[in-house]
Amino acid sequence: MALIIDLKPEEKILIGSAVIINDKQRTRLHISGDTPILREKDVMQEEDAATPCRKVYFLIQCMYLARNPREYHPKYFELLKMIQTAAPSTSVFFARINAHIVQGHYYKALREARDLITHEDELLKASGVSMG
Amino acid sequence: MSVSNSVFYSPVLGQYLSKSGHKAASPADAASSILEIAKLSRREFLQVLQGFDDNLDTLESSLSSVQEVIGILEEAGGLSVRARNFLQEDGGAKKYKDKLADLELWYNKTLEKLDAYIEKSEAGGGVNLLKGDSLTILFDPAGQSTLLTQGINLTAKGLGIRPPDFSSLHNIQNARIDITNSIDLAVTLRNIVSSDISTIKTRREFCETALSFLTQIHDYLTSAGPNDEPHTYLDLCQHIPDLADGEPLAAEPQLVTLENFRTQ
Repeated sequence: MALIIDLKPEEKILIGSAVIINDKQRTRLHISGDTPILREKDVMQEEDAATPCRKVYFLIQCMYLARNPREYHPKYFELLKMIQTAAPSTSVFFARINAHIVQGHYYKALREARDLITHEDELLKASGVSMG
Repeated sequence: MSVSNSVFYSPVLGQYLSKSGHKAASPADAASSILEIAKLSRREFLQVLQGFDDNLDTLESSLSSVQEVIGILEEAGGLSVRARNFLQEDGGAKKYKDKLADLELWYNKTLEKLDAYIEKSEAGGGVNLLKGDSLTILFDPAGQSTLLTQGINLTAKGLGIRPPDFSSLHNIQNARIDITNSIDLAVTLRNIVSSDISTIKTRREFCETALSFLTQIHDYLTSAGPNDEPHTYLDLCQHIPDLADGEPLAAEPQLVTLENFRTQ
């Protein structure tokens, strides 16, 4: 079944390695296949990956876009180890993220990583600092 | 707000992981809740890993069998080439009559060898990808995420190889075409199996590492209990090491894709 995506005027979307920019009216796309798809609001640039959990999001995004996601696994696990040791409560999120990655559902893993970032924001807020 | 000795409450999870500001849960409750989730995930990962190992054996054995089949088909192809060469000579049909009969016989025996080999190529669980069976690999215990490896029937009949007849150049050419098409199909199956092995190995490796981290967190929480998360986490943020030695985290192809996204 095709995935249906509604694009706002001038909204950008990444399909595979191609960037598609909508014109000045709303558009509906029907997409079949299992190529990576990222909407503008989901794309994170490396310079925005300023905190550990944002780096996790960025690395999962890279795995999603990569032909061979394996090359990102060592950095991902290195980061996971540091984060999990500093904040064991994050392991709940990592358990879910990892299950999605094993299943090859990177988009779902990214959604879970977004929750991890919210959790990170809460941790930092509780420490009295905002790094978002 | 004191955060000393506290763990954390997560509205995202909809559960208490901390007592700071919340009265419903103690740090011990939070730790046990994390442990419970870690335990559950661990069990699921172990189940998935078991499935990976069983199916990898099947795929690896099928891969080596397909390679063997390609060898047998090439042998048959070689015989048809020799027969064609004989018949291409002027008066070849008469001159090499006996040799052509021998080649036809060997060709036939090679096809019989092919069928016999495929018959005994059944891998674990009674699956024979070389007879067109399929193999489903589960990436989660519920079977919601799967990888289906569809086999191809590589028997002489399954491949549609015509009965040997080396009596004319036309028929020999047909035999050549049959064998060439058959090799293409066998190579296709080899590529499918090889690619699926690579996918499973990558995910198995990831699964094993993820499992080891779940074990670590289990041991850590069991021995030390939850720490003062907000402060230890802040410390990590302030001293996070460079994971890529000054290089970008993203590899070149992903950097290019993201750069395209930025500049378009």
